[in-house]
Amino acid sequence: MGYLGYILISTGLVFFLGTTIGLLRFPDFYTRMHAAGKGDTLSTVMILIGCICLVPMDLLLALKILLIIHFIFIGSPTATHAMMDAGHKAGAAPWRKDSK
Amino acid sequence: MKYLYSFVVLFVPWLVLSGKFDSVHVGMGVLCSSLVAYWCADLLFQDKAATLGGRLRQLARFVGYMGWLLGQVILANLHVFRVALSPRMNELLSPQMVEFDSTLEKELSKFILANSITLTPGTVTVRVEGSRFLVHALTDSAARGLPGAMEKRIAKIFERTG
Repeated sequence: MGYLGYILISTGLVFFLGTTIGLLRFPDFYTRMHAAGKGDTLSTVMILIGCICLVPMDLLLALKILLIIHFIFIGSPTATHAMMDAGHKAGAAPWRKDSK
Repeated sequence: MKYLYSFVVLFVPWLVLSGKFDSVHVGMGVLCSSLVAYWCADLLFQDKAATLGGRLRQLARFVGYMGWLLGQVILANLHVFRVALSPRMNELLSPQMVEFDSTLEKELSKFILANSITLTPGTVTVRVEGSRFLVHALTDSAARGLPGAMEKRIAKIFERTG
């Protein structure tokens, strides 16, 4: 169980790395939000599930962490959506392949 | 009946989050949950026609949907990962705005569709007005897949009662 926890946390960190690289390399605001919005959700969830596996006998702790995961699953896409909409309202022009 | 539902919905998280089962803490929980349930039951359960069995079946279908969504989230991450690390990133990317009309009617199912679009590969919801969705897609193939199977799944779970 402990090893499963370590594996999950490491995988979560690898996904965070991919998110960060995407955030730095993508060309405009909208594509960067793709990387940030998706990568954050899965890697945070993986790290939290890894934490559950590291303390396997504590049911109450596991339930609390599951509650956190539940709220991240609702909150993270909503926040991404709010920022995308704010950018759209402010008139940020989407990057196109032929624009450069 | 809606008061009882609201009470259970409020009281279970109270027990989980407080973690203490002596009479003082549980008593405070009962008091607070019943007060809030008494005041706010109308906000939580607006659908008066649904029966208890219908609600439970809806919950079970929703849990199944969450499982499917989790798989999609993993696919989405692999997709972003692959595009971000590719040396020919600019060829893979062709960002575009897509607009489509959804057939979903309830606010809740629209909210869940918008969040699901954000979590699935290559697409992020920008704006929802009425039933009109504005979606930003990362690649051509992602744009063609909209709204796809997801809308049907959500319609199956939330649009029918019972």
